[in-house]
Amino acid sequence: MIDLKDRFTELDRMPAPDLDRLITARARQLAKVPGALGSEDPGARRAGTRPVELLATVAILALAVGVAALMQWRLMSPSRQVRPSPSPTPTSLVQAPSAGTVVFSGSACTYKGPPRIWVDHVSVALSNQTARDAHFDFFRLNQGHSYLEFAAHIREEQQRSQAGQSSLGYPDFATFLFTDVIKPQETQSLYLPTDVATYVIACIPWNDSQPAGIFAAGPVTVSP
Amino acid sequence: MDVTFRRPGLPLHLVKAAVADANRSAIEALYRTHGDRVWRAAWAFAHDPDVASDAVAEAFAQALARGDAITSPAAWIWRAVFRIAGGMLQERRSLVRLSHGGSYEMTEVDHELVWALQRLPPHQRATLILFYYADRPINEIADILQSSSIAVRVNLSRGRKRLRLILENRGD
Repeated sequence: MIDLKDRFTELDRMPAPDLDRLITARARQLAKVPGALGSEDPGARRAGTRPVELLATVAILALAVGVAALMQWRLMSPSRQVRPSPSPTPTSLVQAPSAGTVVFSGSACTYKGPPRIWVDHVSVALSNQTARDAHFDFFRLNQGHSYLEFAAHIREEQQRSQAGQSSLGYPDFATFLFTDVIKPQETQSLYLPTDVATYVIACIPWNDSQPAGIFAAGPVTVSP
Repeated sequence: MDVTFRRPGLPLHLVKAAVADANRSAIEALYRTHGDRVWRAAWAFAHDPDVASDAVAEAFAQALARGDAITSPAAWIWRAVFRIAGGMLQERRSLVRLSHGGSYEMTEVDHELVWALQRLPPHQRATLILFYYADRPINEIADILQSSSIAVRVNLSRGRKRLRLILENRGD
């Protein structure tokens, strides 16, 4: 029987950062802004919509209404007859172009997109095409290591899992970044970093209480 | 004739200032003694050192700025940290950003536990961390997570079972 209390005590070995300066600076900032602590609800201001964001949203809406009114006015004006009709522009100003998609089908995890992308350029979509939750684990490959090593590690992990053997754990040649859980039949956007590195993904289907396999995808290399 | 009896003592604004100073000292002392533990709990919950640092710094900064409006700083800090971290994770779900700051080396800690915790739903994960690591009582966990004591007990029981199963399967 696993003693959870003992396992949690292990967390004490994780070095915690010194946040003195961050706290002092933030407290000063809060003291300077009237109404910054208006809510009695701790964290509500931070977790919810911030006043600045609200103002920005109102400003954007006002601008949109203005532009719409202007467009309407232009369409109604006689100049419409002499000007060529503008072609529709499907691209969104706020959405980064998509580099590709990591698709998990249940039997394979595939990155469909260019293997090399540029800094500040793109987003990647995560698509779970299965009927159960899927975890997408992201890793950054350490220098000098390749996707083939990662794929081999994941393959062995899968074989050990099927054979009921112990897990290999995270590969020591890659840095685990985070897990994102995608619901069945859902797709979510991931904004790739500006860091120059090679990223790889492990797709993990999830049954009610445990992982039900593991599959590798990638690589996505971010170039300067 | 009305007679008002006044107690001898400090003027009110000085009393308030003294209370605020005492509260500030209490919050600073809380950070010195429990700051690391609070950060580790937030880190185990979010699995992201940046989220943990932001949540802890924001909670302590808000506590300092609120001064004597907070009657029980320790409980308030735990509540604020988990709610801020939870809010940040929710924001991240709709716009996931992969940043250099989100990476870290887990050379000193129990890889399996942190990995397994991320496989639990957020409420079960938070409940287990607050109970086993932060040593908070059930009723306080209910307050921190804006839940009921019964729901906390259910989450604790289910989370415990699920976490053990994950750890046992991984360690076979």
